[in-house]
Amino acid sequence: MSYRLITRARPWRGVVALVAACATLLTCVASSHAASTAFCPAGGGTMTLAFGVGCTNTDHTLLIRVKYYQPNAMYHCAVGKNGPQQDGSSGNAFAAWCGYGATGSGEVISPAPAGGTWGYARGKNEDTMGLTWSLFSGIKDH
Amino acid sequence: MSFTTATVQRLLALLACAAIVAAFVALTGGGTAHSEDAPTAAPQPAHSYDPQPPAAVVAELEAEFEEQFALLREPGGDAIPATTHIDDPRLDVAESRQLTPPPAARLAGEGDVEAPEAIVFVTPKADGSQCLLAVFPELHGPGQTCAFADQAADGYFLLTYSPDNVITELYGLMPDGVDEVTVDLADGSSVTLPVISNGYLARFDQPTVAVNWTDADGVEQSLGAGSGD
Repeated sequence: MSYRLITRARPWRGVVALVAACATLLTCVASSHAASTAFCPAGGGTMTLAFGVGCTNTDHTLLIRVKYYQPNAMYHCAVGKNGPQQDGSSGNAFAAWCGYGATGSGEVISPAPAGGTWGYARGKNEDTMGLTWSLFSGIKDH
Repeated sequence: MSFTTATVQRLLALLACAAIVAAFVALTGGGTAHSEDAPTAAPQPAHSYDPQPPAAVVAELEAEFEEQFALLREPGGDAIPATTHIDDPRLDVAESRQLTPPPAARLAGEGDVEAPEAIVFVTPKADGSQCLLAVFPELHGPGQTCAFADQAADGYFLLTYSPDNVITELYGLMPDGVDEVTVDLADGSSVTLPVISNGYLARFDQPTVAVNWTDADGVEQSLGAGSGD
């Protein structure tokens, strides 16, 4: 039995990954207030996850989707939640969506349940030191 | 110290990336616009960070998929429930193919496993990848992950859904020649699932740990698929 890594040569994929990383950084930096906004949360909240915590935010409502990007076939999870309390006291059991998402954008996408006053967006990955906000974003609608 | 050409290229690319980001930050006033009261920045395309390969590359990628997955040689057109909100414009929803859940008879004797509650689709994306979409009526949109053909051929095309720390649903795709997968579970037991039209999917009453299979060359493979904390 063996564990394998993807090693096939894809010259264009390196370029794509670089563009994705740059564009993701820009997307997070450019967090806006427009419809279907992509944002990179600024931190806060009290909820914890056992693996490396991506990020969370308590300042965005109407969260509809959480995208967590990890390159190189890293196993990772995205979680999104809408709840009534800012501090997560309404429950800390996230519905997590996990996979490899090893595409050019390497994403795993979690939908968030509708409603709620406070939106939470987080990601985790198999690398406990893998905290990388710039590779994580949430999507919300206004 | 010596640098290879590839190393120099990577360094230059990273420097260029940093310069672009720095310029963007300077132009937009920094990354502090997280507050609802913050000034409104220019709207960004919802998927601006999803790169688009050239058309010729996309065609090649699609052909690779069809070559290795019988499911994708069949016509698409399975309907995703209208109540499910798909907000990714690059998904070709009309070409979706629904994965077939395992018949109860095939799961008999395999322990606490059943067909999943999610309806699962394989949907092509404009960049040449295919996406697994797991649809629950109560959720705004599908859970989603995507893969290119070579990744999918290596088994890196699965998605788990854990609504809590107990129940886990697993959905995945395997290439032609793989007839079953064995799923290792948190309690140390294993469950064998049939691969039907390249798809495998199930619902367990405990977290999953790994997916194991024998590839078309007879080589045993294993991939972590942890769904617990």
